Amino acid sequence: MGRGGRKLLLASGILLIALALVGIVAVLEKGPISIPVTVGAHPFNRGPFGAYSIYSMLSSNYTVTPVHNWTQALAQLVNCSKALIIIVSPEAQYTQKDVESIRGFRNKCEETALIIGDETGNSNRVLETLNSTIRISGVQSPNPHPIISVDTPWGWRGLLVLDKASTLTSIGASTPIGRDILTGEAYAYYEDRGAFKAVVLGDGSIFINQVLQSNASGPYKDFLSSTVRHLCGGECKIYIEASKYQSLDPKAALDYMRSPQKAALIDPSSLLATIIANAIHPSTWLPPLLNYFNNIVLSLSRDVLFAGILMIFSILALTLILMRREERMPDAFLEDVREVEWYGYGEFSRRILAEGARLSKRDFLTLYTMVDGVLKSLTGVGLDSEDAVRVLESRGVERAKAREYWGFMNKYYRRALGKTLWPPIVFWGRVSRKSIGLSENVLKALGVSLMEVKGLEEKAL
Amino acid sequence: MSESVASTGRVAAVVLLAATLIVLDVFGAADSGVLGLALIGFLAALRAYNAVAQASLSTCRVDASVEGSIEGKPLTVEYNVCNNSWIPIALVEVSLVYPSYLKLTRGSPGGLAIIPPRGCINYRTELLARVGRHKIGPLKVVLRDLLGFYRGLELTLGDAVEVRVKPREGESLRKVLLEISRSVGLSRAKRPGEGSEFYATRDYKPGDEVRRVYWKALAKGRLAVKEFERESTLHTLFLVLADKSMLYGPYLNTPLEHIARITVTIARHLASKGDYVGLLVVSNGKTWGGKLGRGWKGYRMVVDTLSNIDYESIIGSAESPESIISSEQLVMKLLASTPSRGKVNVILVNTVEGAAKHSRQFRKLQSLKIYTFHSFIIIPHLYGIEKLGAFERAVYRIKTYEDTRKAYDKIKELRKEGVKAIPVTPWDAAAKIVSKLETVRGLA
Repeated sequence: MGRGGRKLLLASGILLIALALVGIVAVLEKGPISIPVTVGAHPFNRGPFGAYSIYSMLSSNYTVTPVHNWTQALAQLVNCSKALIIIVSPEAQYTQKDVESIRGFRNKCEETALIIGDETGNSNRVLETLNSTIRISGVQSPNPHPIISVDTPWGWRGLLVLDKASTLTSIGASTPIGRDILTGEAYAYYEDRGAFKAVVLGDGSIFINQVLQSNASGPYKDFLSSTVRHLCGGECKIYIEASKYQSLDPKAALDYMRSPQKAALIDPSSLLATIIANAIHPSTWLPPLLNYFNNIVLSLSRDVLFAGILMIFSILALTLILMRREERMPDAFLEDVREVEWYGYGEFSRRILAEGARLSKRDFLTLYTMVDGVLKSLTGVGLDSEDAVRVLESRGVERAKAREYWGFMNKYYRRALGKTLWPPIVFWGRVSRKSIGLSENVLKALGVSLMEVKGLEEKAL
Repeated sequence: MSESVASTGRVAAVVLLAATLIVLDVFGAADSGVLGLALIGFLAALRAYNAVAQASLSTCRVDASVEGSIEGKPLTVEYNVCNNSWIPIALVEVSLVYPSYLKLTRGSPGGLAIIPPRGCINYRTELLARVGRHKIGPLKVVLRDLLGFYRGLELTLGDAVEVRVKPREGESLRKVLLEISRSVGLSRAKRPGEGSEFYATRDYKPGDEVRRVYWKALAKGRLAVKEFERESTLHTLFLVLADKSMLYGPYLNTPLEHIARITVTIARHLASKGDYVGLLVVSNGKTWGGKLGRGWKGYRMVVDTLSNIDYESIIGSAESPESIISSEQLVMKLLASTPSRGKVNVILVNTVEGAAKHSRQFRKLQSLKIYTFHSFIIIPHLYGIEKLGAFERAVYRIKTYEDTRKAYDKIKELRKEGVKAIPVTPWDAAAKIVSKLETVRGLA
C-alpha cells in the first residue's frame, strides 16, 4: 500500500526483463538504424557546406519542411495558399517523378514561389516544369569569385560575392536582379508571373553554412530574409530540398573523413551521433555477442568432460530459476479423522478373539485364587482344604468329580508353587484350559460362573 | 492467486527434465528444445487452471445436514457442494471432519470428486450415533490435478452441524426394573397412612373419622376402621461425574453410555410412578441439567440433559481431582437445583478411577443432610465382556482378575474412608440402583 492507502501494483522483475527482451528483439527485427550522414547542401548538414543555417534561420518564422521525397511531400500537402520551394546546389538530376510532383505543388497551391541557388544546372528541369523562363547554364564564369550588385524590385540592394557561379539565361520576361559589377553578366534573375514567382541565382554557396555562419554573413542573411519575405508575404509553407544530396552510411562517411577535401563536406558531430546510435543498437552488438557465446559454447563442447559439467550446471541453474518462485508442498493426502476408542482392555479382548488365549502357569494360579475366593466366600472352606470335596458334594457335584477336581487343582497348584516336582513336565496352557472347564462345572454348582456374562466378581471379591 | 496453489515434487522433476531437454538443444546434443519448452508451457497452463479451479472451489455453495438422533442408530451426514462457476473443478479430495470418538459405519471419511461446471456433488456417509451433543463437519477439501503436479491449499467448505443424540432405553433393563419394583402406578410405602389403596383394618380408636368405619365388620358386631397404604413420592437426582474414565470401554458400551441408558430407563420408571427425577452431569467445570421435574416432565429433562453432554469437555478433563468441579461448586449446584421439600436421593455414579480421585468430594457431599447419597462405583474394564465367547470370557476374567481385584480393593478403601460406595458391574448396575431406590421408598 502506498501513502494514504493507495494501492501500488508493482511489476515483477521478471516481467520487466521479459518486456525488455521483447523490446530488444523487436528493435533487432527492424534492423540497424539508418541515420545517414548527409553530404553537401543538405538542410541537416551542419558542416561548412551544409544548408542547416538556412533551415534553422527560416524555421524560426515559417513552417519549413525538408523534402526527402517530392511525391510524399505533395501527398501530404493540404490547404496550401502559398508555397515556397528552396533548392540549393542539388547534386543530382531531377527525375520525371520529381518534377511532376513539383508541378503538383503549383497546381495545389494558390501561389508558388521558387528560390534556386544552383551552379550546376541540375535545377533546370524544375524551372522547365514550372514554365519559368530562366535557365542555369551550368558553365562556370571565368571569374571564380564574381561580385554582383543586387538590385531587387522589393527594394533590397547590395553587393554579394559569389563562388564559382554559373551564368544564367532568360528566354522570356524575367528581370535580372544581380549582375557582375565588372562584366555585367547576370547571375541573378527574378521572374514574376502573378501566381508564380522565382528568384534564381547562379550560385548556391551564398546559402550554405560557411557563408551564413561567417562574420560577413550580414548581407547574405539580409538578402535571403528580404527575398523570402517578398515571396512568402505574411505566411507560407516553405519546402527545402533535401533529396538531391548524397547520404552516407557511417562507414562510408568515415572513409570520407580520411580525405581532407571530402572531410569538409561532412559534419563531424552528425557523424559521431550516427556512430553512437548505431553502436548502441542491438542489431550492432547482439548478433555478434550471441555468436561469440555460441562459439564459446561450441568450442567448450568439444571437451566432453567440460561440456558435461557445463551442461549439468546449466540444467541445474535453469531448473532453479524456473522453480525459484514456486511454492512447494508435499503431495500428502488429507488426513482423515482417526477414530479413537479409550478401551484399555479392547486390544487385549480383540487379541483373545483373534488368536485365542495363551495361558500360562500364572493364569492357572489366578484361576486357583478365584475359585478359592468363591469357595471361601460362599462356604467358608478354601480350595486347599480337603473339606472342599465334601462341600462341593453337598452342593450337588458328584463326589468322584469333586475329588478329581480338588486333586487336579491342588496337584498343579503345588507344582506351580514349586512345592513338588511332580509331574516333571507340565504344559501349563493345556493344564489351564482343562482347569477352566473343570472349574466352570464346579462354580456353576455354587451358583456363579466364569463363562457367563454375569460372572463371579462379587462372590469372589 | 499464486499463493493458493503449490507445486508437488513431481513439478520439480518435470522442470528438471524440461531444463535438460532445453540445455541439450542449446549444446547441440539433441533437437529437444521445443519439447522442453512445451513441457514448461504445459506446466504453466496446468498451474493457471489449478489457480482458477481453486478460486472456484473456494466460492462453492455448500449445504450440510445430519439426520438421526437416537443412540445406536445411524447418523446420516450429507453435504451438497455446488460449483457456481463455469470451470470444472477436478480433482477435489474431500474429507469429513467429525469427532474422533464417533465411528463411521457406512461410506468413507473422504474421497476424490470432480465438480462439474454449474453442477453439484453429493457426499453422504453414516456414523453410529452415541449419546450426547456432537459437532459434525465441515468438509476439508484440497484441489489436485489429475497428474498430481499441483495441489491447492487446504480449504474448509460448509459449517459444522450440531446434532443431539438421545439415549436408547434398554428393553431388558426395563424388564429388570419391572421385576424389582413392586408395582406400577402410585407408589406405596407398605405403611398405613394417607392413600387410596386398601392396606388393612384395625379396631376403632377415638378420634378416627366416621367415614373410615368398616361397615362390613360393624355388621358382624366389630367396630373397625379401614387403613390405607401410605403413598410415597421419591425425589431422585442422578449425579454423573463424567471424567475421561467414564469413556473407557467399547463403543456404545462405555460406562457413560451404559449409565445414560440406565438413567433414562429408571427415569421412565420413576416418571410412571409420578416421582421427581433429574440428572446432573458434571465434567471439567461444566454442568448439564440438574433440575428435578415431576413425572414425565422430569423424564424429558433427563433425556434432554443426556443428549446435551459434550464429549469434548469430558475428553479435555485434566487429571487433578478438582478438575471435574470443585466441591463447593458442586454443593452450590446441587442446592440450586433441588427443591426445598422432600429429601433428595442422589444417585452418584462414577468409575473406580474417578471415585478414587474424587473421594474428598464424595465425603463432602455425603455430609449434606438434606440429601441421601448412594454412590455407585462402576468397574469399567468389565464393559464389553458380553462380546466375547464363553471360553474367551473365562480367559478374559482370569487375565483381568488382578485389575478387578484391585478395583474392588479400592472400593473397600473408599468405604473405610467413609464413602458409602457400592460396586456395580455392567449387568447389575440398574438392578442395584432401583433396589436401592425402592428400599428408600419402602422406608419413607
